[in-house]
Amino acid sequence: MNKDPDETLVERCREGDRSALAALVTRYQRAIYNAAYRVLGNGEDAADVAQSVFLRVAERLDEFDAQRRFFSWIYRIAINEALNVLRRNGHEEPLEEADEVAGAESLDPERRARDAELAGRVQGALMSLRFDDRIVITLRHFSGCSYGEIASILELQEKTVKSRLFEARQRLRGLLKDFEPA
Amino acid sequence: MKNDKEGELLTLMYVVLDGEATPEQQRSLERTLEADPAARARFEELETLFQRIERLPEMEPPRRFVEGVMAKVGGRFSQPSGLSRVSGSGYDNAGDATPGKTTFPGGTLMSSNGTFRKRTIWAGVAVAAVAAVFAGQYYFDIPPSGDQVAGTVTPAQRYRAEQIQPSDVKLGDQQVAQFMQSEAFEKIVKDPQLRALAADANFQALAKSSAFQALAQNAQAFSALAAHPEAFQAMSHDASGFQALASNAAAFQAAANHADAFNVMASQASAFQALGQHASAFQALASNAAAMQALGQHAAAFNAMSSYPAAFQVMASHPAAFAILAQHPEAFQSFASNANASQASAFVALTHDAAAFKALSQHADAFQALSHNAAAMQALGQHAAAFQAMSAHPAAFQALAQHADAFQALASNAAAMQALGQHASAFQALASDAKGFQALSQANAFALLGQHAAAFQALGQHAAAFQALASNAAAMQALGHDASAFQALGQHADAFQALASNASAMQVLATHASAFQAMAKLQGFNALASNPNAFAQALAQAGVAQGAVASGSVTNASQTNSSIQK
Repeated sequence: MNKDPDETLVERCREGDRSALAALVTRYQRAIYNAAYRVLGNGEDAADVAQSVFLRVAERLDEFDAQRRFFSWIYRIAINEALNVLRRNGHEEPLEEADEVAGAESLDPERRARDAELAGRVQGALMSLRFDDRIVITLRHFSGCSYGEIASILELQEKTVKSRLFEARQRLRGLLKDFEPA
Repeated sequence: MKNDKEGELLTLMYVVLDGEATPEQQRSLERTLEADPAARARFEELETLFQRIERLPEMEPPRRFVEGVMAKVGGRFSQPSGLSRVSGSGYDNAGDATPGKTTFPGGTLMSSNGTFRKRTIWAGVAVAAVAAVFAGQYYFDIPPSGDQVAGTVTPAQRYRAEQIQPSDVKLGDQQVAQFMQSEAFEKIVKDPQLRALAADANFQALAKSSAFQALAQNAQAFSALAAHPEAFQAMSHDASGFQALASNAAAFQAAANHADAFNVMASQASAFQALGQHASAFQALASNAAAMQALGQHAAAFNAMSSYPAAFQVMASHPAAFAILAQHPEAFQSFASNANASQASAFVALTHDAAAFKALSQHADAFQALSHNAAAMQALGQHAAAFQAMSAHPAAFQALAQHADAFQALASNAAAMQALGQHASAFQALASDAKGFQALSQANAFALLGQHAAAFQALGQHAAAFQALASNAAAMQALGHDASAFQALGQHADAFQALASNASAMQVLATHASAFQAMAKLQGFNALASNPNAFAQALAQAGVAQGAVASGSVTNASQTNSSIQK
């Protein structure tokens, strides 16, 4: 049976292997940046959080409990870092809409405009949810975590995750109910 | 009490949409949706919500994010002094470890104001110098080895490969030999920064690998492998040299850890073709996200590589890497537009891995590109698990719907349709794409689906999916052309019931006499007849169909109707 690649990389990192750390950063940069982006609503803060996350990982590698999954640990660090940014800012940054449809150059202008409108509206609705709600929605829909994985990251029971997701989605549903893309 | 029930139903809907429902929960919801139009409307509303959320695009991290982080890490990960300047990483000023806002270096390797030119020259000198330093290590023991080397990075154990003897090394490059006799060489070998580069673990591991002998003919490129993208590009032009490298997985892994270098290499399709012949090297590649990202940006490379099924299969065993690749639809487009037998085999290899396919399915654009290839789709259809994974992603399916040929290929496979039928939301997405469905109708792909009785029978087992289908007039129009499809469907009363409850579907169907005629002969007709309103409405508007029924099996129909009336 193949060893979990994260486990191997973490072991190498603990021995001070820079290339292993670079591999871990490479492996998780997109996931962490995107999760932070969806929770914070802007790219600059998300980049800041993502960087802090990896620096924390590098600093605190010895505190990582090898019995846990690495991804649970790194996501948890990311959530804490995102919370720190929100506290530091004192308020939530407005949504950056400009690059929400980045990479969609191949689409026709009408569809791009429609997608941008939808993306702005959905992200806006997401930002008006409570932090806890945003976290569960982000982990489920943007990070693709299962109930069990979310439970592991948030150190909650699965049934609590299910219930939080339910509440969060109901609120989101209410916010988007009247939205009809042009 | 009512609220409790509603809450339970909503929870069940969410669980199903999250893909976490048990088969029993799934069936329970399907039964409820069939019986309760209000619940169905609620479910559809939730599906729309999910689609809206999941259509938010994935954002690109800042350029050179990894390098930015690596420039700031300290402690056990501190970089050997001076190395960054030699490696040309562009991070000479990025060593500020102060936390807070960070400006990520956004310049490219080929930036304006002469940076690229200067760097090329510097890299060229460094490459030659490092080659020379390395040659010196073997021939002249420069720098001194063993205990005299304080602070040398020991190669990681995993990179230790079959060791070759110095006598095996034949440096054929006359330029290197000439350079070694120059004054510049004397200066360079005394430069501690270059020694540091030569002492780099990855670099040393490469030098000790079995690939070294073959690559020694291209010593300059090889020497710079660990850190110089420009040199890497030079090496990539040399397919035979690259093949030698590719035969050594550990060496390749070391190389793949350098994203910039890999990115340059990925622009060389011939290099990738060489790589494709070595599954173990490919494994190393697939476990490296940055390498996969680079590969995805170079469609020609991806295309060249995809000629090798074994390599593709190895890649498929790394869903995370595959997901990264899937973010680049142009790579898939290239793959799809150059279909040949070996590439179809590569796709078969890929379909063995449902997780990889799930990763791919999350990227509708990639999937759409792939959908151009009917052979690939046919291969996909033969692997129910992969198909099932894909079916859980409505967006992927919607993309697929826009390609009639691909769908036609899929439609010939009953197992695939069975898997599809288990995911009503995917089918709903498929059916809701009017443009896609229109394409299907024009190409008669959907009608072709109807000709596959087994596939249709599989579909018929899933009433909810069928309901989705029935709500699409264009689909029903296509379906109506094919009596055998109805014959297959008729064995499933639930599906028939779903159809019968959809008046507009019935109206469309009513214009197709042969379909109606076939229906009337079926066991499932009872179910249809049990919905008199839809049936009557359809019949009232379809004189042609009425005539057909009358002349075909009117006895059967009237008997059924009268039994319902009682």
